[in-house]
Parts: sequence; structure tokens; C-alpha cells
Amino acid sequence: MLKIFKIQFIILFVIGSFLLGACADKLDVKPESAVSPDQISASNIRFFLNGLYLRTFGDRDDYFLNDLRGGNYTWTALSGNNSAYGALITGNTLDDRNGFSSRIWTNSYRNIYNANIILTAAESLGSDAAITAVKAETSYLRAYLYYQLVTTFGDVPLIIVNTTENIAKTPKAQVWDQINKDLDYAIGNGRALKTTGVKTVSIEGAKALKARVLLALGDKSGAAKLAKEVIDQTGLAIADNYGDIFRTSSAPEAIFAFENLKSEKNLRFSALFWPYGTAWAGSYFVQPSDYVLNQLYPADDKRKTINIQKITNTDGTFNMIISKYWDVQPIIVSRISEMHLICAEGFAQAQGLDYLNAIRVKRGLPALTLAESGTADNYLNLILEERRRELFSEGFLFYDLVRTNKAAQLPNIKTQDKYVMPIPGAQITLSNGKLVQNQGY
Amino acid sequence: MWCEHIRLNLLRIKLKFMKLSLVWNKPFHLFCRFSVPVLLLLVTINTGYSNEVNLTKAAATTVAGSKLSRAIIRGRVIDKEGLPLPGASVKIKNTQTATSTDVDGRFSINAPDNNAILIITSIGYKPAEVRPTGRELVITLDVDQNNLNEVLVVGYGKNTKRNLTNAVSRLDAADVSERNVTSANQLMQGQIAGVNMTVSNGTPGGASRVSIRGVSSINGDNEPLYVIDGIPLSKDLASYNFSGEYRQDPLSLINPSDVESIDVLKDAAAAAIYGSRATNGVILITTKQGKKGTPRIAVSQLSGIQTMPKKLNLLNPQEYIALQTEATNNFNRDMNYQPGQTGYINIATVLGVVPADPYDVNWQELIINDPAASNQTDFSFSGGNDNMNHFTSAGYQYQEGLIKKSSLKRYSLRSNIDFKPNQTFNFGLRLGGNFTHSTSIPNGDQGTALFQRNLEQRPYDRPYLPNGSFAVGGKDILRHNGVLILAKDDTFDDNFQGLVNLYGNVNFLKHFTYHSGYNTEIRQGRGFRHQEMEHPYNAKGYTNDIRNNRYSATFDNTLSYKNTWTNGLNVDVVAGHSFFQNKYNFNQATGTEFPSDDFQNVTSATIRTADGDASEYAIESYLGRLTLNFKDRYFLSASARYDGSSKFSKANRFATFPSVSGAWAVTNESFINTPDWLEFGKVRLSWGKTGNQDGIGNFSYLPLASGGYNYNLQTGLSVTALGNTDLKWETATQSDLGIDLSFFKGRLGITYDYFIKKTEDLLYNLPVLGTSGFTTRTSNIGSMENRGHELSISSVNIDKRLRWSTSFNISFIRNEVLSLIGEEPITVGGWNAIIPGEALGIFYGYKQLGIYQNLSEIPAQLQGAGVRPGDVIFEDLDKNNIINSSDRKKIGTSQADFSGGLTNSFKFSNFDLSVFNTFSVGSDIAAGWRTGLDHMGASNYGAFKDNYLKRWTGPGTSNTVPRATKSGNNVRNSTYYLEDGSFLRIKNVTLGYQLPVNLIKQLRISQARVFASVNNLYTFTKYSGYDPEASMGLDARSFGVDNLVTPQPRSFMLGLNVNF
Repeated sequence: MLKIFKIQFIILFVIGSFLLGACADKLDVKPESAVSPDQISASNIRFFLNGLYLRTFGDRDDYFLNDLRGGNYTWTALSGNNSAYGALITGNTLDDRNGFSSRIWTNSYRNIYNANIILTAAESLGSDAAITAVKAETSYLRAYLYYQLVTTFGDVPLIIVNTTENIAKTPKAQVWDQINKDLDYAIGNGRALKTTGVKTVSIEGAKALKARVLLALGDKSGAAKLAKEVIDQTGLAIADNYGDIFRTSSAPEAIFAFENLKSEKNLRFSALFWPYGTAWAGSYFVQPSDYVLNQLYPADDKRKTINIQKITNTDGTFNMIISKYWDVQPIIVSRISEMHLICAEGFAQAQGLDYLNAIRVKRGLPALTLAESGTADNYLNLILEERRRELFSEGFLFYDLVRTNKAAQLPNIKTQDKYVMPIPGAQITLSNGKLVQNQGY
Repeated sequence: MWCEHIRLNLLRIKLKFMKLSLVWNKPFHLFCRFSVPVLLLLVTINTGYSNEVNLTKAAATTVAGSKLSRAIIRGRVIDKEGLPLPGASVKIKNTQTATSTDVDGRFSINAPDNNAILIITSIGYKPAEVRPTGRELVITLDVDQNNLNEVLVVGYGKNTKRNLTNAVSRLDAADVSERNVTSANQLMQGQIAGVNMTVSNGTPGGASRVSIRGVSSINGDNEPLYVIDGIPLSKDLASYNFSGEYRQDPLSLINPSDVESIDVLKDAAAAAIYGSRATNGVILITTKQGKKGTPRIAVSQLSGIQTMPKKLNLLNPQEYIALQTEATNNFNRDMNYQPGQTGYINIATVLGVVPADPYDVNWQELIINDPAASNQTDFSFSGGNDNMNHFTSAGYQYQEGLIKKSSLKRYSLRSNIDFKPNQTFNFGLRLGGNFTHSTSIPNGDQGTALFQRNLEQRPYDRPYLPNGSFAVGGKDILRHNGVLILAKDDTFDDNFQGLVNLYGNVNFLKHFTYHSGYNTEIRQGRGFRHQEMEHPYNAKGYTNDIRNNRYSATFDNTLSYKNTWTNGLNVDVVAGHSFFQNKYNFNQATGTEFPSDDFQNVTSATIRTADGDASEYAIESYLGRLTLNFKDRYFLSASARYDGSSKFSKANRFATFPSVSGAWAVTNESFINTPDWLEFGKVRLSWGKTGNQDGIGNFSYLPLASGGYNYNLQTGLSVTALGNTDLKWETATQSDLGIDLSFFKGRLGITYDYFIKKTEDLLYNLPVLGTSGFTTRTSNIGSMENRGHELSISSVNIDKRLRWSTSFNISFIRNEVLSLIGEEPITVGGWNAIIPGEALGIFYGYKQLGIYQNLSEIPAQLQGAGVRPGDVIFEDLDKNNIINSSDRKKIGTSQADFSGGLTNSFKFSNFDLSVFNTFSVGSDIAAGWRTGLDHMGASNYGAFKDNYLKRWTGPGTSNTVPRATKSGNNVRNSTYYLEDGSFLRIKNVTLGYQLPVNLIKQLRISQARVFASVNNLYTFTKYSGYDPEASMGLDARSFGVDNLVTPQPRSFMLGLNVNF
């Protein structure tokens, strides 16, 4: 009897203690700093858009790809001719493993994914003003991302509905169409600059980007028309002090700029150009090319001392540096001087020259007469040179030479094949060859 | 009084030494340290400890039934070192009369007559038979060298190797000669077959790579599970600053001197009881415990210096200028560049400012701390009786690194108490409290990497400018100024660790035991980094302050049943439940722009940012094991474990991990007539499954929208993970065939194992198409296999006045990735790839076929790209005359063909000598550092001399080393930079001397030993870098890439062990 009791006791004891220990529900652990993306709603959709604003602008160096390839820079003793920068500058050993290609590729698609999520979710959230504004701004950002992709790589997969499928490249004409469509939506449904402010996409901001797109597509008059609208509608003037545009947080001239706070993005352009041991301590990986140092700026060009500076060391030696950027400031996408330059290029020479001269005079150069501007070809070269001076280290030069088909004359480019960058080798591998490498790489 | 006198004298001597040490510093530092244990020793004598402390003086018990008492035999049982052996059993042959020895090893026993023979036995010692002599007997027992009788810890139980059915290896800390290791796992290096341990960097406390039976998981975390006294240790590193190669080993928090033994559960059947976390093997560490008998006080001291084992030979200023001039001229000529053209290289820009007196600056010497100090002091007291065992220890260790400023300091306390008030209940508490302070340095993969960057300076670059200020890298001199970095970067990691193992057992109904155990590790970490204003990275000062909290706990409840039947059947059954929980949180404050260098904390910074997060995961398990032993001949064991992890979706949460194993002790069979020389023979066979869910995110199965992506001071969210609800357990199935043999009464022991381990559903952060919006997605991607042979041999070669014993182990392990989702290689970093059909950790790059000798050999397209005679011929796999990423292939492997260790120990009179070697053959090492130092002018950096002298200078001059050129063609990750990583290392030589007992008796010391020891005495290797074991990271996928990590130091140590 006692024995049976004892055994029952043990069984109860054991079961009891196992139950005490058993805690299957404790395996339902929830993340404490994330939610499921399907919880997107009217009240938080702008949060997702803010995330997109923050992340759309990618790596520091990628902003300068067109300056690197266009001949504005040379390498430094520190980076060397065989560094990632050196490869772009010389054209030697630039292959499908370069970091610029893979960064631009993955960053663009990551943000396109988020843009698509927002646009898809917005479809079911009605059409009140706040939702429409979100859609307009997101459309702009998607267009901006595809603009980066198409100008860097040419044909790229066009994804407007997210997918994990293996997608082949879409002809670039279709990508450009989508860019225009998205920009048209942003222009048609966005808010005015005076409402949004410079750090948020506005109608004027979308028009400014579209003007650039039209210029790229060869629609010069369309581009000029839009650029003029932007100049007229914003009432923004060419800044008196060229340096203020890049060195102050107010960024005069800006139509749209990504906010870049030290507590948020904290992206330091200055760190690429300034040497260690200076105020904006950086790695000093590139320096102005000989052409920029010796020929680009006429003596009384006010931009020269802003963009280029001589740093004298204690031992009497010196370094020439690109001094345009100080500290951490907004990342400018479109500014009013670019609109003037588009007008200069897009309008008929006589009308365009006024816009070109507006810039020249502000920057300390003499106005040109129509006679001085010469043939159409000569005039185009004058504009391109002015763009190179004005938009130095703003990511324009190389693509300006590509769209005008002058880039093949560059010693590091030589053929039209090299107008685009190689598609990242890793992506081609992942696609099992469905993505085809660009010709010449 | 005389003690007092000595003490004062010693104090004086110590003070003198301290004064001297101010002048001489390092060498005398060592001797000062020695005075600490001596003082301790004297303090204990002064307090009269040893007169009073015998707490329990259990009288010898005489077993009833010896009515025929005609003689009382008295005696004392001691071990070879003269220490009493309490609890030894003394039996009169062919009778039931028996007794056991008391705490002093004394016994008295009633014998039928004076001719009775006594049999004395004690666990761990060889039995002895003695005939009484009439006087008091002194019986010395020899240690039983037969390791088959050792008791092993097998997870939720214990067993002897003789009776085991699966592959478990044990290492007794006492068998490893004294080394100044900072982490207990380093004791295992070269000691256990199948356990490959690579000390990939020599920074004190730096983490090592341990793989048991190959690498079984692909994801970053494929280290074994460490369980200390039942507490599963968190695998997370103990360093919180991003400091390049330096990763503080979580095991460095624990005092290696407290370790009694390490048991390695190798096959699945052994590890399955830890199923859910056992795929990469389980290492059980048991800390010391008090033993029944005389209370024991132990003091030990180990002090010495550590030196750089090797220095690299670099170009002097003249050679450097010659190389760069040659390279520049060749390049401009090849490319037809004229001055002023894009691409033209100006030699003046390359050389920078060459001082008028360009003397050779030895940048290696400027950052090396040689000799570096190493000290370790341990103090413990322990004891026990029938009701209680206790062990208490305090330890201090201080080790400097080979780079200035780097050091690790540890204070540790441990208290282990096992309390057994009666036959029904017993309880125990094992407590460990540790503090470490590590001053890590930014060497390795960070921009300011000290060795690499400093060696890359131009040889005439100087650390200081003429005005005395620091030269700035990239401006005044070429690379980051290591002297400046060391002066302006203050970094430390602090850790407080608490280890608690609390258990209770209830023994009931004779055969049942209910066990409940609560095991926890609590870790509080702080990482602090301050960079002063002159630091290149932050012109206005920077501070990063991280607080890190970690809590992990298991709560185990098991019921076991144990019975032995008279027919020879032994049954052991365990069933139970276990719950594991791991919680983690951190907060981090970062500040930049300080008023001046006087301000160090974030509160004074102009720009302050904060971050903080928390996460957790949990595992619940049901487990059971049945062990049968019939007549010590047939053994069978079966176990199963049912595990659920919070890291998987509900549908895939639980998985079962079973195992079966059996053994047959052939020599115990009566029908087999075994020869005398074969003492024991056993065949083992096992099969089992284990799981893995480490190395992936806690919520990898969920698509996530994360916070923190704020823009323009407004809240921001971003979708950061795609999720994968199909994610499930990674499972390894392992089969093992083992043989245990023992010859010549245990003088020769052989253990052999063959295993096949196949891991399926490998968890991996798989790279995915960029167009998906993501770069990786955690997935179960394929399978991988490890198969191998393991052999351990231990022998006593001579056992006379001179005793010579040898232990040797070797393992041959082959790893192969069997399948991935696709067939395409998954590249990992710049040097590696994962390819089906190849081992994990292969090097992937270009193959050098030779050197172009003539222009006619070079395809036109490559000529167009600037390739010229003297350049490397890379294999053009697709024959398209372009060398790009599709021309890469497997060029080597980081996995060795075989590796192991050899220890020879000699004992003669009071002297002992041991020589320990480790070896590894067949692995390659990617000398990543050479792309920066063996560039033949492709970069402006300083250069490594050895290959410079062998470079191509014209047709026929070299077919291996390229010419000097500024072209980047030759500096690809190719076989040119791949070297043979094989080595044979004289890891340790220790010579000890046991002080004669009559000398130390006066001081009431029962045992004292002094010894001298050398670590890493010499390494036989062809590798041109510092250390063939070096690796930048610990990841198995990219192991063996060396960017000049800190090598393992050569250390010279003196030590003293004293027992009271």
C-alpha cells in the first residue's frame, strides 16, 4: 500500500515539476524594435516615406562618380593609381568587382523596394491630400533612383511591383519612360515648394529633375521650358556667395536637397577631400586633376578658391585639395544654377546666352556677347565648360559628356562601351547569367 | 619570530626590487611579482593557520566482524608527492575486513595474523598489495595512468571511458604544462584528436577558432557550445569596441586555473543530449572541487616576459626610392603617358618629401611592446568531509600585448560548495565572479591597423615633425601614424561576469534521483573609446560609450533511475526538461566635438547621439536517455531530445534529435581468450542527430519594418528584412566507429575513431539578387559533410627511475560542401567562396601561371590594358583575353590535411620536463598584407624586401615574382599571395623541480614546485608573415586571411606552485 502511494507520489511529483518547467508559450518571442511591414497604414505611411528619404541617398563616394570618371580628380599618394578611385580615373583595371557598381546597384534597388511598398500600400489608403502627397513624393524618389541606375548602367531591370524573381534587363527607353511617368505624377500631385520646404520633394523639385531628364533624352526645349518654370515659380536667385551653397545648412539655391543631420544621416562629403589633421579631417583620397588646377578656372572666377584650396604643412610642403564641402551639410539634388544652365543649353542660343551670362557674371566672369559664343558647337562647349566650373564635384561632369557623346575622347574611356559601368559581377552570378554584362567588361 | 624577521627582510628586498624596477622596469617587474606569493605564504604561517585548521579528524573506522583480532596493523597511505590519501580503502585479502584511511591517510586494521596481505585501493591510483612488516607501514600509491578508468562528464551524467559507447575526450588541466593562457579553451590546443584549435591572434584574451570534427555550419557562428559546470556560456564576444582583429574571447572572462577538466563531446550520440545546440560539438568545463581530506591551501605564481617571435624585413630608403623610380618609369613607358596627361605618374609625387638625410625609420619597433609582461597569481583553499566539499579560489592575471598599450587584466573569484547532509538530499552552489579589463588596440581590419599601416610607411617617413608634433598620415607621411594613434586613442572593454550553478538532488526509492538545476550567466559589459583631437578620424574629439547587458539561463529538471541487477545488468535512465533563455540589451552613447582633450565623457560633447536595443530568444527541450551495460561487455545507449526554438515560425519550431550507440568490450568476453598484453579492447558504434539555430538573427523568419530611420527630425521606418517563414533547424547526422585499446596493463592506450557527419538544411544569410530589394536572406541552403579519422596514442615508454611518457594525437578531416541552392559559387569577401563539391573556407581567386617573359606571349587585348613582359600571367579561364571576376577559381584551402599534437614528458627524481608540439599540414594562408607590402611599386607604400630582391628584371630572370610597375595588374588576389600555412610548433617546454620534502617541511609546506617554461619556442614554417596560424577573422568561410594580425608571442615564464 505504502509502496503504491509512494509511486503515485513520485509520478505526481515528476509530472508536476515538468509542468513547472514547461513553458512553450515562452517561445513566442516578439521583436522589440520592429514590426511587420504589412502594418502600414494611413497613420504611419509617412514614417515609411521618411525612412525612404533617409536611405535613398547612398554612399558618399557614389555622388562623385561622374567627377571621377569625367577627369575632375586625380588620385593621391594615399589612395594610389590602383585604388577604386584610381581605376575610375585611369580606366585601368576597372572591372565588374568595383565597389561603385555594387553599391549603386544594391542601394538603388533596396530603396526602390521600399518605394514600391509605399506606393502599393497607398493604393488602398484612399486619396486624401496626405496620402496623395506621400504618393507624389515617393514617385519622385523612385524616379531619382532609376535615374541613377539608368545613367550608371544603361539597361537595368525595371521593377515597379516588388518581386524576388530573377528579372532580365529592361531596355533603357522603358526605364526612362517610367522615370518620366513617376515625375509627371509627382508634378501633378505634389505640393508647392513653399509648403514642403527644400528638404521635402515639391512640384518645383520634381520639375527640376524632369528638366534634367529631358535634357538627357535630348528634348532640349522641353527641358528649358521646365527649368524656366522652376526659376520663375520658386523665385530663387543665384547665390551671391558661391561657398554658402555647400557650406551652410540653409543651402541657398537649393530646390530639393536631402537633409543630412549629424544625428541622422551624418554623411561627410568633406571627409573624402580634406586630409587628416585638418578641420574636416578625412581620408584625402582624391585631389583636383591638373586640368582643374591649371585651366578650368580663369583667374578672377570666384568659384576657384571655394572649390580648390592649398593647404600648407608645417614643413613648408603643401597639398592641393578640393575644399568645396565643409563639415556635414544638406545633400543638394537640384539647385537654381543648374536650371539656369539648362535654360542656357535648351533655349535658342540668343535666349540661352542670357541665362549663361547670369551665372558667369555672378561668379566674377565677364558676360559673353552672342558673337563671342560662336557656332552652336562652340556654344555647347562653352555651356559644358561652365557646367563643369559651376557644378564641380556635384556629380555632373561625366554624364554631361556622355549625353553629348564627347566622353569617348576621355583617355580613361575611349569607347562608347565604357559610357556605362559594369554590372556587379556578383549580381550576374546570382542571376545565373540572366543579367547580361554590359559590352566591353 | 623568525618568520617575522624573514618577512621584514623580504619586504625590504621587495622594496629594493621596486626601486630597481623603476630603473630597469620589465626584467625586475618579474621578480617583484614573485614576492607576492612568498608574502602570502608567510602571512599564512604567521596566522598559525596550520596548527588549528584541522576541522574534522575522522577516526579510522574498523569494520565489525574481525573477532579474531590478533594483530593491529597501522599504516599511512600517501601519493608519490608525499601527500596523504584520505578515503583509500584498505582490505585484508580474502576476508571481509576492510577500513578506509582518515584525513591524514592513516589507518589501523585488525588482521587475523601478521601474514595477512593488505590490498589498498583508491580511485585514480593503481591498487597495491602489501605484507605488513611489524612497523608502521608507509604505502605509496602510484597514479593510475590508465585513462580508461577516468570518470568523464557526459552531459546530464557521468561515465567512465571504459564503459562509454560514444566519442568523448577528456583533458585534465593538471596534465597540461603550465602556460600563461588567458582562455581555458587554449588549454585544449593540440591535446585532443578531432579538436582543431587555432589561436588566430596573439592579443591577450583574443578569441580563437575551435572546430570539433571539422566545420559543420556555414554561418558565422560555428563554434562549439561551452558548458561550464552546467552553465551554457554565451558565445557573444566580450569586446564591444570595433577594434579590428581584436575580439575578446568570452572564455577569457574565466580563470583557466580554476579548471579541473575539459570534456569534449564529439560524436552525435554524446552531444545529442545537448541536441539543440550541439551540431558544432559541446565542450564541458568542470571547475575544481574540494576533496575529502586535509584542508589544502594552494598558492601559485607564474611570471614572465613575452617577445615578438619574428620581425619583417623591409626596404630601406635607397631601395624604396629605386623601386618606385623603376616602377614609375616602367609604367609611364608602357602606357605611353607623357607628363601632364591623365594617368601620367610623376615620381616626385610618389616619393613626396624625401628628407635630406633619409635614414631608415623602423616602424615595427615604434609600436611593438617587447618585452611584454605576463603575470598570474592564484590562491585557493579547499577541503571536504563526508557531508561537504568546498573549493574557494582567487586569481589575478595580467598580460600585456605585443602592441603598446594593449593588455588584459582579470580578477576572478570562485566558490564551489557541495553539501550532502544525508543520503536523500544533496545541494550545491558553484559561484564564479570575474572582472576583466582589456585595453584593446586598433590593429587588423580597421583603417588605422597598426602593423599593416606602419609597415607600409615609406621608410624615410618619420613619426614626428621637426617641431616635435606628430606627423599626420596622408599629409605629412604616407599612412596613418601608429605612434599618433597609440597616443590619441584610448580604448577599453570591461566585463563583469557572474556564473551561478545552483542544484539540488533528491535520492529516493534507492534507485531514483530527481535533479533540479538553475544555471545562469550574467554579463555586464562596457566598451569605451575616446579619441583625442589629434586623432586622425575625429579632429574635434570623439567618444563612444557602450553598456551591454547579457543574461542567459537554463533551468533543468531531470529524473534518473539507476539500478544494477545481480545478473550483471546495469541500467541508467534519465528523462527531463530544460528551458533556455538568452536576453540581451545595450545602450550606446556617442559624442563628437569636445571642448578640449580634458573632456572625455559624452556629456561634454557638442553632438550627442544615443542608441539602444534589446532582443531575446529561448529554447525549450524535452530529453531522455537510456544506458544499458550488461556484464561490462555489452553497452547500449539511446537518447532523444525534442527542441523548440523561438527563432523559427510556429510550424517549424520543434525538431527531434535522436541518437543510438552501442559498444562491445571484446576483452571482457569469457569465450575469447585474450593474450596478457591486451588489457582491454572495445568497439563502439554510434549514430545520432544534432541541431543548430545559432548564427542567425533572433527574428530572421519574420519580415521586419524597423525603426530608427528618422529623417529631418521626423519619425522614420524602413523595411529591413524579407523574412523567411520556411526557416527551420539545421540538422547534422553523425555516425561514428570507434575502437579503444589498452595494452600492457594500460601502459599503451590507443583510441581510434572514424566519423561521417553530414549537416543538412544549412542556415545561411544567403546573398540574393539585388533587385529583390535585399542583399541577403536567411535560408536553409544545402548540405555539407565532414569525414575524418582521429587517433590518440598515449604510452609510458620507460617507467623506472626515469619515467618517460608520450601522448600523441592526429586527425585527418575532410570537409565538403555537398549542395547549395544554386551551383554558382557564393563569394565571401575578397578571398573566399563557397562552392559545391569543395571544402568550406577555400580560397577563390586568380591563378598565377607564371610571368610573361616577352611581348609576343601577351594577347593584344591585355597589351592594350597595359600588360607587359614581367607581369603576372593569370589563367584566363574563359579565354576571352580579359581578366575579370569570371576568371577566378579555387586556388587553395584554409583547412589542413591533418593536424595534431605531441607531448613528451620526463620525470627523473624531483625533476620533470615536458615538451609539447603542435602541428598542422596542408592548409594555405592568404597573405592579404602582402598586397600592401609586396606590390612591386603598384602602390606608394613601403615594401617587403624578400621578394623585391627576386623580382623580374628581364627575360628569364624570374617566373614567379613580377617586375616593378605602377600598374595594378599584378596586385590581384591570386596565388601569388597565397602561401603554405603548414607548421610544426614547439608550443611549450617546461622544466620543473619538486623541492625536497625535508626542506619545505619546516615551513609546513606539503609540496612546492618551481618551474621554468617557454611558449612558442620555435615554429617551423615556410610562411613569410608573422604567424602561420594568423587569421583576420574567425569565420570559417574566410579563415586564414592574414592582414598582419598580432602574432602569438614567444614567452619565457618562471613559476612556483606551493601547497600547504
